[in-house]
Amino acid sequence: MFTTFRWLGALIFISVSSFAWGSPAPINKISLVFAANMPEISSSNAMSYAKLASLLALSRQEDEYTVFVFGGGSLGPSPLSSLDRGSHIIDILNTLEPDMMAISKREFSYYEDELTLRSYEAAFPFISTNLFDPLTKGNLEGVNTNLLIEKGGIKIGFISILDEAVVQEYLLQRVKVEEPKELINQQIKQLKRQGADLIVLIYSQEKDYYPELLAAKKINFALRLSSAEDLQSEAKESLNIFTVANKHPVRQLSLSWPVDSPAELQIEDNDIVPLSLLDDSKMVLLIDEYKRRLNRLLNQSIGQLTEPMQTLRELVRTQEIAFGNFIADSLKEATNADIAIINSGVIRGDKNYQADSIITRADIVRELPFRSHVAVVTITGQQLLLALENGVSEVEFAKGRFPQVAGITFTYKAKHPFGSRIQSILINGQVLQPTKQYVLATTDYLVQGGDGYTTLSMTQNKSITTQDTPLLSDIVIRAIQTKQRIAPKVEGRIVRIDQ
Amino acid sequence: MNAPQITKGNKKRISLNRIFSAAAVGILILFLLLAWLIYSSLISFKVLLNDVAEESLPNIVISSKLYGESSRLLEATEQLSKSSSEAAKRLAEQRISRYLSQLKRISEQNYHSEFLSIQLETINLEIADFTALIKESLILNQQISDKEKAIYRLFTLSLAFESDATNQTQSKDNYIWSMQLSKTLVSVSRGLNMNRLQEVRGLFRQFNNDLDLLRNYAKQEDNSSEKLKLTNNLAQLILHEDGLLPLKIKQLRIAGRVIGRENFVHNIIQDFARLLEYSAKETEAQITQKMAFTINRAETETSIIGLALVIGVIFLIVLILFIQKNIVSRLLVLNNLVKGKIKGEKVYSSLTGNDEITDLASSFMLFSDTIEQQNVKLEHMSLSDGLTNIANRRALDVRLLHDIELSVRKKSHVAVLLMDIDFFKLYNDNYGHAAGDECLKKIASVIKHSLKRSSDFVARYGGEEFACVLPDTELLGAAAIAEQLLHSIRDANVEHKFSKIGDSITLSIGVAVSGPERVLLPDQLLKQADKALYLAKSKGRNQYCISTNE
Repeated sequence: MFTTFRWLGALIFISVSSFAWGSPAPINKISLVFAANMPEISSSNAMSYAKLASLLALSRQEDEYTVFVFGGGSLGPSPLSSLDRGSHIIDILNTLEPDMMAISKREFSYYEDELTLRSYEAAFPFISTNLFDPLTKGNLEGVNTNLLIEKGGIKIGFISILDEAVVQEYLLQRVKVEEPKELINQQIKQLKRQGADLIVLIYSQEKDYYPELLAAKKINFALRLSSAEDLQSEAKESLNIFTVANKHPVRQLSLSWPVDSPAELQIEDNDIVPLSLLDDSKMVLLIDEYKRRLNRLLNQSIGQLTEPMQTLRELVRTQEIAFGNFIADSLKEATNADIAIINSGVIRGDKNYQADSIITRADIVRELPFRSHVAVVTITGQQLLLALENGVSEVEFAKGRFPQVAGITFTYKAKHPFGSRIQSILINGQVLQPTKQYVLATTDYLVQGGDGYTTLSMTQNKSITTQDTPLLSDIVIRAIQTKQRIAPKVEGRIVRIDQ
Repeated sequence: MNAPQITKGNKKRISLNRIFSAAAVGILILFLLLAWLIYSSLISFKVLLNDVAEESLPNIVISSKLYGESSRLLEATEQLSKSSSEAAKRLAEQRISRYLSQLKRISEQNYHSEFLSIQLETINLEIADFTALIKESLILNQQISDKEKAIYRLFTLSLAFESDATNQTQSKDNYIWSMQLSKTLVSVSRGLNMNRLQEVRGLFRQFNNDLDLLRNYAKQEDNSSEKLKLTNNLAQLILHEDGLLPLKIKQLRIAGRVIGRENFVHNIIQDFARLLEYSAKETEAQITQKMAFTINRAETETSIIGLALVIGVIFLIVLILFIQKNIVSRLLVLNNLVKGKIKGEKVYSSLTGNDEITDLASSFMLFSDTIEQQNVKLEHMSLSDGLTNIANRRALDVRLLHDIELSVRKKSHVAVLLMDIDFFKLYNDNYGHAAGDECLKKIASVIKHSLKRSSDFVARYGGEEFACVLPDTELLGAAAIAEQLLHSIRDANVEHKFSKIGDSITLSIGVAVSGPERVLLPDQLLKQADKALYLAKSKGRNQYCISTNE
C-alpha cells in the first residue's frame, strides 16, 4: 500500500510540470527569456533592467522553471563599467539569477583577466564554446565550454559561439577564438551523450553552415545577438533564430513539446510590450544606488561648451567632428607631439550637446568609456599615409576606424578602392614627406594595431614618463578643466572630395 | 706769399668731437648691454633654480609619496574585503582612515584643486559604503553559520531516535526517515558550498521534494509526531524568509558585490592617484619647458655677449686705428707744417679732411700768412734791402729827392747811374734762385765798394737793377765812375757761363745828370738814366751810355 502511495506520489510530482495526463499527446512547456546588449543601467531604451526584472518575476510566477539566458554584450562599455569593469552588471545579474551568461565581444572590453574576475563575482556560469586560452590549455579560467541545464523535466544543452573578430577588434593578446564548425558538432555529440533533449546555439556572427544545422535539427533553435540598432531588417525567425538588437534587447519564448519527443519542439515568440511592464522595485533600488554612486563620482562640472556639438555615431564614424578635433588636439598638446590620431570608435556618446552645456566628468566618461591609454610613437610619412588609408578604408560602413586628427589635414575619395583613397596630406601646413619621422600621439589600442591600424604596431614606441600612463579621458578632462570654456570646431582637417 | 694749403674742399665735416662722443656712447651702450645680458641671465637662472627647488622636486617627491599612500590604501582595501571577522574589519578600517587622511593632507597641502578634493571625498564615501557592505557580508556569514549549527543540532536530535530504534530492534522501515534526512542534509550542505545561483535554486527545489518524502516517511514510522516536528523545523530553518536558502542566495549576491565593489574602489583610487600624478607631471612639464626656455635664452644671450665682445674689440681697434691715422699722424703733419713755417720754408700741407685738426691747420696757416704779409709791410716801411743789405728803392727815392734839392740850392750837379746785370734771367734759370740771390749780394757788395766818396749812394732799384746817386758830380765824373764800376765787376769775375757776351757777370749802365742848367725831378732823372741803360743794352751790353738831353 505504501509502495503504491509512493508511486502515486512520484507520478503526481512528475506531472507538476506537465499538462493532461493520459491523453494521447501530453505536452511539456517551459518559458525562456533571452536578454543581451544591455550595457547601460540607465538606458534610454524602452527596455531596462528594472523592466526585465519584473518580466522575469512574472515569467517565473507562471513557470518556476523559466530559463533565463543572458546573451552578454553588456559588461562594457559604459561610464560605470569604465570604473568597475562591468562588476555592477554582474551584481544586477546576480539579482536576476540567469541560468548562464554567454560571452560576446563586449565582454572583453577590459580584457581576459578582468572577465575571469567577473566570473568569480557571478553566481551563474559564463559559457563560450570556441574560446581557447593557451595558459590553461582549455577554456579561459572561469568560463564553461558548454552548459547542460535540467529544468522542468527537460535537459537543454547550450553552445555559445564567440565572434572570431573579437581578437582583432578588442586586441586580445592571449586567448584564441577558434573557427566553430568542428567544435559545434563535437559539443552537440557530447551534450547529447549527457542526455540533452534540446540543443540551443547562442551566437552573433552568421556562418553559412548554421542554417543547415538548424534545418537538420541538430540545433533546435538559435539565439542571436545583433549589433544593429533594431530588428527591422532581421528576417531569420523562420529558421528558429531569435535575435536581440541594441534597442530590442529582450525576447521571451514559450517552448512546448510532446512529452517524449522534444525534437518536435514548438516555439511561441511572445511579444513583449515594455510599456506594460512595471519597474521592479527592488531592481530600481539597486540601480538607483549605482546611479547615485556614479553621479557622486562623475557629476562634477569640469567646463562649459560655448558651441553646439554632436557625437552621433553615424557622424563620428564618417567625417571630421568638432569633439574629435578637440580630443586629438588635447592629446597632441599634452604629449608635445607633431600630430595626433584617434579612432572614432573610442567616441561613444551618441549625443547632441546644446551650446552653453555644462560638461561633467560623466559626459567625458560616457564619450570615452574605454580605458584607452595614451601612446606616443615616431612614424614615417609613408607609415602615416598607410595608417590614414586604413582610417578611411571602411568609411562607407561607418566603422570605428575612421580617424579624428590633429596637426594633419587630408583629402580622400571614398569611391576609390582601398589603398588609393587618400589624395593629399599636409602635416602642420607642410606637405607630407614619406621618409621624414613624425612624432604621433595616439592610443595604446591603435599602437597595438587595433581597428586595422597594423601600420602603427610597426612604429617605434616612445616611453611616457609617468608611472601610470594617463588615459585618453584623463587628458581630455584636464584640457577642459584648464580651458574652462571650449568651442570645438570642424575646420576642414578631413575632406572628402568626391561627394 | 703762401696761400693756406689745407684742402677742406667740399668734404662733409666729420667732427672729432662727434666721433669721440659717439664712440663714448657706443662703448657705454655696449657695456650696459653686456651688463644687462649677464644680469638677466643670472636672474633667470636663479628663478629657474628656485622653481626646480620649490616646485618640481617637491612635486616629484609628493607624487611618489601619493603613490605610496595610494598603494597602501589599496592594500588596506584588499585587507578589508578579505576580513573574516569584526576585529579584522576594524583593523582594516583604521588603516584605511589613516591612509585616507594622509592622502587628504598631502593633496590639500600641495594641490589646491576643488576637483581633487571632491574626488577624494568620493573615495571616502565609497570606502564607507564598501565597509558597510563588508559588515553586511560578515553578519550574513554569521547568520548562515548559526543556521548551520541549528541544523546540526537538529540532526543530533534525530540521531537520538535512531539509538532508541537500535535498542528496540525495530523494523528497518524505521531507518528510512533517518536515511532520507541524512541524504537531505548532505545535499543541503552541498548547496551551501555551491557558488551558482541556479544550481542552489535547483538543489533547494530538490529539497522541497525531499521534505515531502521526509514527511511521508515520518508519518509511517515510530515517533511519527517528533519526526514530523523535526522535519517541519528543518523546513523552517531552510525555507523561511530568514532561512538558509534565502541567506545563501543573498550571500552569493553579496560575495559577488564585494569583489565587484573592491575592484571599483581599487579603480577609483588608482584613477585618483593617476590624476594626481598627471597634475604633478604637468607642473614638472611646465618647469622642464621653462628650463628649456631659459637654457635656450641663456645660449642666445651667451652668443650675444660673445658677439658684443667681439664687436667691442673690433670697435676699439677701429677707434685706435682711426685715432692713429686721423689724429696722431695728422697732428704730426701739422707739427711738421709748423716747424717748416718756423724755418721759413715754403711748406705744402698734405692735411686733408674737415675737422678740428684741419681747423687748427687752417688757423695756423692764416696766422703765418698774416705774419708774412706783415713782414712784407715792414720791409716796405724799412729803407734797406733785405737781401743785399744796401739801401732799397724807398731810400733811393728819399736820397735822390734830397740830393736834387740840395744841388738846386748849391747850384751843383747830381748824377744817377742805373745798372742792370746782363742776362740775369739766364743765370737764375741755370744756377737757381738761391745762386741768383748770392750773385745779387756779391754784385751789390762790388758796387758798394767801388764808390769812393762817402756821399755816394747805392741802392737796389728792383730785381737785378741797382742805382747810384752821385752828388756834386758832372757828366764826365759820372762817366768815369761808370767806367770804373764796369772795371770792378770785370775784376770780381763772377762766373756766368750762360751769358751771351762772356763767361762772367757783366753790367749795363745808364748815366743821367741833373745840373743848374737843367734841373730834373727825381722821376725825370731816373727816366733819363733808364733810357741811357736801354741804349747801353741795345749797344751790346757791358758798357755805359750817357743820357743826352733832348
